[in-house]
Amino acid sequence: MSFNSAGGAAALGSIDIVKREGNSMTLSMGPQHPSTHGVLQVVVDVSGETIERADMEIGYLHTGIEKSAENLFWTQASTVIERMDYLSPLSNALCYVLAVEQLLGITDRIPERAQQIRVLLCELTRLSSHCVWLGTHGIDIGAITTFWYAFDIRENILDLVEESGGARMHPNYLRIGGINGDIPDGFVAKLDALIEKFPARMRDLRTLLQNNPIWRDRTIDIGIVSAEDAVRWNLTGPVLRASGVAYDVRKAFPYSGYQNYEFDIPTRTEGDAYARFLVRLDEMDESMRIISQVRKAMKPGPIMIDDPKVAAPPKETIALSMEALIHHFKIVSESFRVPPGDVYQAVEGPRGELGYYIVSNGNNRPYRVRTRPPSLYNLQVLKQMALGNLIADMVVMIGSLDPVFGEVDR
Amino acid sequence: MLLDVGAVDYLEREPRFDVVYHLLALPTKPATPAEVGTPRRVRLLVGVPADDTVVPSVVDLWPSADWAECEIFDLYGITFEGHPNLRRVQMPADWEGYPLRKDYPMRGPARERSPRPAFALKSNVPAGTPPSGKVAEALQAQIRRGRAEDESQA
Repeated sequence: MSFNSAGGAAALGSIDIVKREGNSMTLSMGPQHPSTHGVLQVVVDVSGETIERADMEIGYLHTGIEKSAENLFWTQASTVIERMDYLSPLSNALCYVLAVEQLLGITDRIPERAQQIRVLLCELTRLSSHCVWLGTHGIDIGAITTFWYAFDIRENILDLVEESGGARMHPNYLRIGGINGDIPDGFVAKLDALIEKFPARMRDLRTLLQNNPIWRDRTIDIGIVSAEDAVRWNLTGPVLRASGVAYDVRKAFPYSGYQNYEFDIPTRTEGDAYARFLVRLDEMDESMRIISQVRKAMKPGPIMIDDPKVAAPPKETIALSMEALIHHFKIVSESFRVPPGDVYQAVEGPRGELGYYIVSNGNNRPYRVRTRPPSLYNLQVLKQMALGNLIADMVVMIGSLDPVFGEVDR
Repeated sequence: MLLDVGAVDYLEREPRFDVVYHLLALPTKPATPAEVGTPRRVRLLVGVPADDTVVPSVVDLWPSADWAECEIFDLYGITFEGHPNLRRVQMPADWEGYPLRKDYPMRGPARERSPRPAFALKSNVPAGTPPSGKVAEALQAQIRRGRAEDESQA
C-alpha cells in the first residue's frame, strides 16, 4: 500500500464518476463536498472539462421548520425561524416579527429605539454573513489569508450580538413589539471600536483580492447572468444587482426606518462572479455607513411597545405587583392571539429578498409560516449559468451565489 | 418576476388548499434604483379542492419555480401539470404522506402507529403495583415496608 494512491483518492474528495463514455463523463459532486457550502449534490455532465449539464439535488438538511413553527406560540416561533438562515439569523427574525406586527396592526407604534437597534443588528448580521461568504469563497479559490481577515471582523460582530442577545449565533433578541431588553453598557464602546477598525480591514481585504491577478483570472467572465435572465430566474439580492437591476427591498419597500438612512445600492452590469464579489464588498461598506448613521441617531428611550396585549410587563414590576405577575404568566404560558388574516412581508437579507407569508386564524399559534428563501431561488440559476464553463469553475460559481442550506431546505 | 410559490392547507374550508403566488414587476434590463422605484407586487391565490389537487405548472414561464413546485408537491401533495420533473425534493423519495398538511401528525405517521417503546412508558410507579393502579396506596405500602426493614435492622 502506498501513500500516493491513498492521497490521490482523498484529493478527489467526494467527486464520484457515475458514468464514462468516450470524452464525456457524468460526475457526482457532493453532497459532502467542502466547496458546496453545506449539503448540495451537483450531478454534472462534462465533455472533456466543459460542463454540458448540471442538475442539483437538495433536501439533505430538511428539518421541518415551517411545520414546527405552526406548533409554537407566536413568540416562540421566532426561535426556530432564526435557524433557517443560520448565517443571518436576525434578518429572519426581523422579517417574521415585522410580518406578525403587520397582522396585529402595531407597525406604527414600535418605539424608535427598538427600530434603530433592529436595523443596527441586521446590518451587523449582513456584514458577518458577507464575511463568512468572503472567507469561504476565498478558500474555495485558494486565497486562504482572506479567511482570517474576514473571520476577524465576524468575531467582533458575534461578540456584539452576544452582548445584545446573550448568544453568538441565534440570540432570539427581537420580539414582536420591540426587542428583548436594552443593549447593555459597553456595547456602544465595542461598536465604536469596530466602526473605527472596519475601513482599514476592508482596505486589507480589497488589497488582497480585488486586483489580485489570480483572483481576477478565476472570477472574471465566470458564470455570467444577464439582467434578463436574472429576472427570469427570479434572482434577488447581490446576484441580481451584479447583473444591473438595482432592486433592494430596503429602498423599494422600506421597513423599520430604513428610509431615514442614507445609503446607495451598489450595482454592476457584468453579471459574472467578479461583479458579484465587488457588489458584496461595496455592500459591506454601505452597511457600515448605515451602522454609523444609526449609531449617531440612537437616543435613550423605550425598547418595547406599550401595549399589554402583546408585551409582558417589565421584569422589575413582577416582584411588586400581583397583577403584573399574573399578566406575565399569561403572556408566557398562553401567548397572545393575532387577528385572522394573511400578510407578506419582505426584508433585504444578505442573500436577497427574504419574505414571509404568514396566515393567522385568530389563534395563539401561527396557522402557516411560508418562507421565501432567497437561496432557494438564487441557487437554481446554476443550471443555466454553469453551461459552457469549466468543471474547475463550478466551485467559483456555487460560491458566488452564496447559498445557505439551512434556508434552502428548511 | 415570480417571487414565490407557496401553499396553505385550510383543512375545513372548501376548496381545501390555496396555492399562493407572489409576483413582482421588475425591469428586465439594467436599471437604476430610480427606474426600479417601488415595483408592483401582486399576490395570487389559487384555490385547490381536496379531491382534485392539480394546478398548471409555471416552470415554462419562470424556470426557478421548479423547486418551489416540487416542494409543494412534496409537502402538500398538490400536483403541477406540465412540470418536467415533479419529485420529492425535501423528504426521502419513499416518504409516506404529505408533512405540511394539517391532518398529518406532528411525530409522523410511522411513529404514530407504533407503540411507544418501553423506556418511554417508565414512570415512578413502584414495581409490584396492582393493575388497579392505586399508586398512592402502593407507595405508602412501600414506605411502610422500608420502615419495617429499618426497624428490624435496628
